[in-house]
Amino acid sequence: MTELSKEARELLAGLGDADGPSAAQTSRIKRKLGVGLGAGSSLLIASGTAGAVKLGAAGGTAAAAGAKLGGAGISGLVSMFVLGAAAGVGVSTTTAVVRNLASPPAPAMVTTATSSAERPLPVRARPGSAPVAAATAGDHAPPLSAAAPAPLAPVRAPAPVAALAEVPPSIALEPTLGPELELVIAAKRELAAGRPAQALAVVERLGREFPNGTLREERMLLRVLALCALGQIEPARHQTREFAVLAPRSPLLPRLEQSCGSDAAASLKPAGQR
Amino acid sequence: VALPLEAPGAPGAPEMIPRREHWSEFYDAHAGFVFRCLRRLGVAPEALEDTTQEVFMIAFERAEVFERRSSVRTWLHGIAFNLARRHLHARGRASAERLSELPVDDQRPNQEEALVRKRAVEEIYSLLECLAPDQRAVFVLTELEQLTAPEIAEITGAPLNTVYSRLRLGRREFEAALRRKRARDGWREP
Repeated sequence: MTELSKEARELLAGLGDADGPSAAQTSRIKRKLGVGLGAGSSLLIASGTAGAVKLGAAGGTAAAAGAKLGGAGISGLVSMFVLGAAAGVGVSTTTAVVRNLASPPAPAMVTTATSSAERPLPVRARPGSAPVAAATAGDHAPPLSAAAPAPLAPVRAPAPVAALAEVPPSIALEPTLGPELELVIAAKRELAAGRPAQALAVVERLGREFPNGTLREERMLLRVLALCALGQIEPARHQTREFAVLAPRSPLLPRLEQSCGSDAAASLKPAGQR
Repeated sequence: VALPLEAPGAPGAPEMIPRREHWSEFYDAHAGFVFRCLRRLGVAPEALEDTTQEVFMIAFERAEVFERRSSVRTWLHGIAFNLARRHLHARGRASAERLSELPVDDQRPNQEEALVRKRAVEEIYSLLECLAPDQRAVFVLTELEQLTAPEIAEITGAPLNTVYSRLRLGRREFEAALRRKRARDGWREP
């Protein structure tokens, strides 16, 4: 192995943390993340555990119980929710990063309306966005030829409605990852509310709008969970196989093992990880 | 079940993902190195804050599935690497960092010292620009982030032999760039 010269090593060693962020940058990022704590304020996290968050009435919004708003100077909140932990369907979490609460109100991006017929997709519509198509059983990825068909497993019951964090209407996600994360949140919310078909539709939209998105693994996991909840075992297994091939070291893989596609996940896991 | 907070800097302390109520401390403990890592991997200055933010968004998103098969630091490196790669693909390689925009920590008491450090940073970054992206990533993760080759293989998804190969080539390119720069510096000196 080629080794670096003494001069090069000394040059690199001298770098230390000189190329780190300035104090102002660190604070600015923290504010955007919503974990910045001003004096006397509380970390604004809405816990997703059962009982920690209250759902609002139909069509309305509710403040997340347990979340504390610290008053002036509070820059945002981190909203996190957990799906189906107790049901073994798979646990996943999402962080919503929000803008300054003091900013002018923006259209709500997440709604808790529970009437199903005209319930809008709980994601802010964007120009050019394709309408959400109804999910069908035939639009899943084809099976991978290398994987042998796995025996049918009993269908797991869909997750019960899990505790959900409510997001105030003035909240808007930060740019870049935000739009993709919005859809992930929306899909999780639909799944947690016992609406797997709607969740699948959102997942399809994620796939169309962010085919190579940063949260692709989350999207694939959500698709499997939605398919399982719909009783579509084979499509779930096909998706699981694809996941295991595309992301064999994904930290989300253990979650798939708790789903109805788990046989496929186990069969494709590298030998050393089984 | 939320896990206890990793004590930042505590030697031998088990590395764990913090409870949600300790995310702020978690950010404080790791923000600097995440930012530095992204920058060293080639993320453009104007995108550093957003990309750092995204690293933590994903880390918090995945906190509950962290399996402790690697250290928290390596785990964050992996997220940073993937986002940096996406950034480079999206924007193409910048021909050069905007060195004039490199921040100098205004907390440093000695401005002269700050300038010396700034020049050292500029020199290293100009040399890193001479490396191909894959070589730069392995070089940075090895020489600056002090990760092992197996850890880098895990992070990048590249075979171990490829990691060693990229490191060898990266070191060679870095040395060559350093020699060229020294030759230019010598020629310019009166």
